[in-house]
Amino acid sequence: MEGLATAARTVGQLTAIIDSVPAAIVMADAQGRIVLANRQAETLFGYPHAELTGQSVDLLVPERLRAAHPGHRAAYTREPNARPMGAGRALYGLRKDGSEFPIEIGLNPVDMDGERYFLSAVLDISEREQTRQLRQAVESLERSNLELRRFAYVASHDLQTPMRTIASFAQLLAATYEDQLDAQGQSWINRIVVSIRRLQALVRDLLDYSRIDSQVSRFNKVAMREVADAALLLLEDAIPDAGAEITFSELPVVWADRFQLVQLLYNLIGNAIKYRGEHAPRIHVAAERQGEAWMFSVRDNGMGIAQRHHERIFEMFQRLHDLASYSGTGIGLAVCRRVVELHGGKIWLTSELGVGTTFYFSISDDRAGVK
Amino acid sequence: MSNLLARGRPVEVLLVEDNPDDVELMRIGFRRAKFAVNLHHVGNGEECMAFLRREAPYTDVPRPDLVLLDLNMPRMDGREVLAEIVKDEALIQIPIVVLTSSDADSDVLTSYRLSCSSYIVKPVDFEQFSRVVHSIGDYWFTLVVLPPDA
Repeated sequence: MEGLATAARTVGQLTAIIDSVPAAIVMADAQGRIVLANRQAETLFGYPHAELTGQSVDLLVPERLRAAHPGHRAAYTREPNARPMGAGRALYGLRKDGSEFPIEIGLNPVDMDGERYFLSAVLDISEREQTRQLRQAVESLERSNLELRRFAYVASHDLQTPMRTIASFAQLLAATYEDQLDAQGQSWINRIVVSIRRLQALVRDLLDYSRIDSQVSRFNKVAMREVADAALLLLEDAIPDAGAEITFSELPVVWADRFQLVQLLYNLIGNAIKYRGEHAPRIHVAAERQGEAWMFSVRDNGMGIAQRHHERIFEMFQRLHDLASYSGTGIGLAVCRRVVELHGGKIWLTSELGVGTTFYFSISDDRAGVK
Repeated sequence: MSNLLARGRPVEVLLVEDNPDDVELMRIGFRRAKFAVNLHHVGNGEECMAFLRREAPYTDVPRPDLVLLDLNMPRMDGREVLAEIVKDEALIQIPIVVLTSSDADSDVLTSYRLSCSSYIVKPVDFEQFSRVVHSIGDYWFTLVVLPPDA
């Protein structure tokens, strides 16, 4: 009697232990009938207590995979060894409510009283799966972005040759056969030449944009004041033409790609001059320390940008004016945003119509944050 | 010692260019600029090397005074031509002007490292094209002194 009580106590203890294991445990006999399922298994598969015992393990297998399951089981019965089940294959469990979830199973043969049993430890890997899928999605997005930029580079590069040909021969036609063309004919050729010029400007800007990514960034210590001077040099015609006055606060040295920053300031200052208001442009460039980054600002007294446009102006090909009023391709600010992104920063603006606009951008000091 | 136009013979220019439109523009450009130029043309680097070495079918051609070299061409591109010429004692003194649609830093750098004499980005239209042809002529045919005729 004493022996039986001890045995009962031992079984009770074992059951308690098995129930408290954090993995779902299911034991089946050689025929695939469940002889033991712990609490975790019941919770995981959504069954009330003790409902699983006596059922076939196939109950836990999604119907679409069920047909193959006895075969797998038979093969394992012939040649059992401890191993993770379905290594490299996606396994799924079936809940009582019919929903499926990704699982991993560790399978062990257990011999008791001359009978063979199979002990499975089942792990829910939904979260891991989700992370994996998310990572895959991000990777494929990055890949397609890169491909798009490469495409833009190749396309814009290869477009230049036929455009040169069209522009050149249209001009030759106009110049050589001037006498034989009436005003109408001259005007049509002129339209061709003007359109091609516009196309060339578009492609050139597109090429500049795609080059930011297709050429490797070279990060160095860069004095922002030198960057500004280089940008001003590129604007040496536009500045006196507009009577623009450009002033600078003290500008810091940053860790950056010099060429890209020149493009950035050239575009921002150039825009400030181009979209001027009634008065001669007054533009001020300043810098301010903000935590781990420098925040730069380019303030102007120009025509201003309505709040509703503040996002879209950074998109490729977005313009707020028709070509007759202001020439341009709508790529400049897209270039600015891309450059700032590559420097681990942000670009934004505040503006008041008729008063002026201030563009802000941050350049991270943290070299690790630089992409 | 004299500049090319003072030698009393036409200047021999070899244009290495695979795009027939650019060849035509160059011909018109030189004709309108009224330089006394014999413009020869080959379509890729292999033909260029054969021309310079007077291999068949180029056994009777003159030695060019100036080579205008496109970079991107089929079979053998301009970079390979430069690399080949720089190794060749007999050809190294010929001035090579790279004339290409590429303004990529890497192409400019590679070309000068391979001892090209100048690097010109193809102009976007004919007006600018004419100016470039004039500049090439003024500089290479009248201003600079080049190696004497062999």
